[in-house]
Amino acid sequence: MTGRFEILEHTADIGLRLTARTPGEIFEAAAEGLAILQGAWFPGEGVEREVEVAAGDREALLVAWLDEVLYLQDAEDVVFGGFHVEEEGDRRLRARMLTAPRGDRGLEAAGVKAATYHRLRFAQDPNGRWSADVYLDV
Amino acid sequence: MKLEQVEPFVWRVPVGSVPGMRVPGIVFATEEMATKAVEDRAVEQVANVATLPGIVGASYAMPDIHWGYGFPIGGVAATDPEDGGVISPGGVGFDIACGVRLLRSELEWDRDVRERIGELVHTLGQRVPRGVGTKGRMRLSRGEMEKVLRDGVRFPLSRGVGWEEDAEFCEDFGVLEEARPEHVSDRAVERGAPQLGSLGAGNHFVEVQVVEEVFEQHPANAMGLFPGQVCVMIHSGSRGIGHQTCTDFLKVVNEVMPGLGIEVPDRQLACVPVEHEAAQAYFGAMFAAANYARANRHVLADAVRDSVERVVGRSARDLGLFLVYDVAHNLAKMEEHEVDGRRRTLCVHRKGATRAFGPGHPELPDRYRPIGQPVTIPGSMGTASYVLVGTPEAAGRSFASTCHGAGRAMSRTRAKKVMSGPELRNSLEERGITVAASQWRLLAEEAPYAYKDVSQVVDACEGAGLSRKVARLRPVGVVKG
Repeated sequence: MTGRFEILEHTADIGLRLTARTPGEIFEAAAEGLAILQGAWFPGEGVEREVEVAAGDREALLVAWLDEVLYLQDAEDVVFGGFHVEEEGDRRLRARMLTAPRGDRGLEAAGVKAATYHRLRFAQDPNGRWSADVYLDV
Repeated sequence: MKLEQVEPFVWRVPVGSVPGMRVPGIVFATEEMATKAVEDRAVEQVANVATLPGIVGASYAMPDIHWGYGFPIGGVAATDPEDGGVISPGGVGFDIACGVRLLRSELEWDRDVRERIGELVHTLGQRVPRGVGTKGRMRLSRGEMEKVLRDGVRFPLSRGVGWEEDAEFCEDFGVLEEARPEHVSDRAVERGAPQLGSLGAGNHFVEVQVVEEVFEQHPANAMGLFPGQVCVMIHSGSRGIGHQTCTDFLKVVNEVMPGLGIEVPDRQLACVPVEHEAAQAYFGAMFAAANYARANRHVLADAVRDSVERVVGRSARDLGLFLVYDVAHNLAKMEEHEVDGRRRTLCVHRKGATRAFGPGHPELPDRYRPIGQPVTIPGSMGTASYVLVGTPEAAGRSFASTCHGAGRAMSRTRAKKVMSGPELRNSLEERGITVAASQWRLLAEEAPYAYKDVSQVVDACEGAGLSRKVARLRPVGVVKG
């Protein structure tokens, strides 16, 4: 991943500002940022799996992708070792990720409930770099 | 964004403040709170909500208003289905039917508990499942999940968990009959099945409190509250099933809405007319998740009774650990209200706001019908909580709604910079508050200084006529999610 994320201030919740060279790196940076906030980022750990998500447009796809990560964490009680976007378009994304059982690790998790559409942004600047903002409900 | 003062504690956001407003905004607040809400951009969100199709009266905000996502936190909006009124899943939020349950007791702080508070908090910490990934006290099969979603608190009662009379003192008597579990997705069911009877993370808690002051004797008597009494407050919601249900329907509504010609200023406000089939499916699923939330707090209350019994060495019934009331602060329901002299059935969204029916309302249990609905307002860890009661005039002022808590004043990032988790624990313990947290490093995100002064919030609610103060409770033991 060569994309970056930074935390956006919000009174009640948490935002992620993502910057990268490609849309795929935006998705990877977003998932890594979320995993870090959830105390579930263990680079290199786990077994590989493939995930596909779909949505009505690229912004909504970012929300759907982060919701997929949250769903896997909650339903399967896993932590994350890596995210690699294989293929992405405006409405569909295919990625590989590493997941491992949480086991008896107590996670220092922010308690993110979901990604929101609030002030959602996903755009390319005139220099060709991509950036996105997404707010998470805590 | 400008606010006009209408009367003490009441501020108007004029139509036209953002394009497309159909009604004004009304913010109930002191001048200081109102100014902060403008700076915080929460008032802009009040104005955005005023653009929703079919909105009636005004887009309201309670005194604990702060910047949310789509709706402000503390927002109340009623829409009329006969006038194209919509429902917005974002106006309920991800933690569907998150709310507060208050247990009273016959225990007195000085006489019965002070010496044992460390042991009690430790026992609660062990018996109340909390944090991310933790399983609940009841792990359910798919068939059992369907029963919880349909029957609310009646499901754990059928398994011998809790007391029959608990249902009477729960909003809707513990079950929303209109729930439609068939509209809850497999993913949501999968997330909820192992989590019934778990606290979750973030700002959820179980708190041991002492009644510090009684403001009105008559309602306090009806609720069984007296000075020096030990109570336990539970703040939790619908866990993964609620989060997934909101996520699922936001996606549906975002896809359906453009075809209906509805435009909203923020995608999180996505909505569909109440009569639309997507809206009806959402209602059914949201009510099912609300039934889960009530059952969740019901099972958590069982853990509390169990813990107190173990520490005090007497049965919970003998100790009078009765339910005062259980009410949600994230929900949308169809309610009858009088608007412009006419009774209308409206879809009332409360996002970080609490229903507060006045005396005589038919949906209240017999015990509370003469006094009005109890409303439990959690403070922030280390500050007071309040018990309020609904007023007759709130029906005409805020669709019978009041505040839901102190309301955040500082971001989580800033809160952690003020003090570390361990420093905060020491500071709380110096003030006589015992704390058990699942994550010490993140404790500071929920520090008291990150919130508004809850006393000013409930005073503003009283000043605006939305609710009256009955009792103030101070925390002596906190178990954080």
